[in-house]
Amino acid sequence: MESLTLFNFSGQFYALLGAALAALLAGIGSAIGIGIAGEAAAGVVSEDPNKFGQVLVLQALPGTQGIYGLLIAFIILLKVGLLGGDGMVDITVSQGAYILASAAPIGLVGIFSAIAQGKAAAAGIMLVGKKPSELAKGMIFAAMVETYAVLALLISFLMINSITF
Amino acid sequence: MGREKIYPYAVARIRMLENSLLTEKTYTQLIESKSAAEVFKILSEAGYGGENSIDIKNYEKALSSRLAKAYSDVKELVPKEHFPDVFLLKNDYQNLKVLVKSDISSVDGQSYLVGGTTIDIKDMKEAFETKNYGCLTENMAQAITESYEQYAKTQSGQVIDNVMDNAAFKDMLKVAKESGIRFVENYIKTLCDITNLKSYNRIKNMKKTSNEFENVFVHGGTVSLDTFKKAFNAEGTSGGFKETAYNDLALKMDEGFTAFEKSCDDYLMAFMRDAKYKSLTVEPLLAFIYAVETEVKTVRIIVNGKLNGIDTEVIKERLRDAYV
Repeated sequence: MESLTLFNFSGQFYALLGAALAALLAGIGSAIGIGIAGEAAAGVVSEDPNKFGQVLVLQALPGTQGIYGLLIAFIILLKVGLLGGDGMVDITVSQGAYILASAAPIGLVGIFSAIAQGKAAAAGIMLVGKKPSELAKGMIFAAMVETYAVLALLISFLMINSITF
Repeated sequence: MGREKIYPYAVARIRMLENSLLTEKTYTQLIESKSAAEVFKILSEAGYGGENSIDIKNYEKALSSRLAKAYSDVKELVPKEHFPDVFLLKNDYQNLKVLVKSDISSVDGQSYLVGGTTIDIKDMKEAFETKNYGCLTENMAQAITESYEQYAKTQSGQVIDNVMDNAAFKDMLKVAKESGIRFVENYIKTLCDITNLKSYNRIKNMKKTSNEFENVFVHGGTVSLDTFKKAFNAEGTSGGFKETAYNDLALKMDEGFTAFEKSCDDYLMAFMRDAKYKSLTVEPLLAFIYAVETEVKTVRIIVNGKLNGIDTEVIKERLRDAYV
């Protein structure tokens, strides 16, 4: 029986785990995505330093997932009372698990979509390298990926909002 | 997610360097120009020869330095990878051929040695002279010994070529396999097949036997020696390749020698053009080297054509498809 108690965490732990995963996974994704795009951007700028401004816009695109993750993490912290100053509210294990579940969409979609977006952004950066006038098109291609990160953010947000204590 | 290794920096940089490749428009200008002097002027403007203006005396140098720069650019971008060597190895073997042949014939072959090699020419010469093949690959060392043996038996310079070519493909395939990149491996296999198809076309047109062909066949491609032998015994030149991937290409053999050689180069270029749609993996780096090699070849065709006063239309027929 003793081993079971190991998993006997409180609801608060699950809620915090949700907040952590939202920020963590989406953040990792964004970091990798921006890294890939950044390498490509450096490649272009090494040959033509004047393109810095254009490629920077594209490089920043995969960064949004990290922000979405942060946003959801903030909302969870607010919800459980950690940001209000009144201390953490009491929540049951199942309530905590609800919160963890609602953090899953933005965490998981965040990490994969940011990496995919990083690759699309890198390709867009190369497009700008060859044809500087096509910056807008390159941005649209990369921004398409954003749709799914936004959808995941929406679902995570709706789920958390509808949990009542 | 794919597990292929990605090279965002290198590919982006190559994409930028691709901007410096000659375009169809420049080729048209080159062909339509009235004299070789005009050709040299356009080439200078396109960046050939660097600071120096190019003329009939130094244009070869400008072409080879263009090629050398492409090799070194790619090597620099992926310093830990060996796959660019598949392009350099043929130059190593060219030099080995020159060394062996000039040793046998006691003619100085210095002027036939080429740059763009994996092994420094000086080192190779030293290794060759001292018979200490430590810095050469195993296949190279074997090929040297074997070519002397075979030459002693047959007294034919052609066997040296064949021994060296086979060893070259062995080395290229080895590098390709070690790289683990399927694109590189497929390129070498295709190149091997095309080399065989070219020799087949030549030998068949010379009305020689399939035994002659066996002497120049290189191993490593997807089309087997048997297929070639069968094609030899069949009627006509181009019919025997229906079962292979090269049927369409083989049909070009009927259009004449020049047309077929051009089609072979265009076939390889079409293979390389797939790299245009790869944005992060290694393919564009290889395609870039191939693109520059083809560009240099095309420019050489135009310059030689202009220098010898060859008709514009004739030059046009021989132009290779460009990458961009």
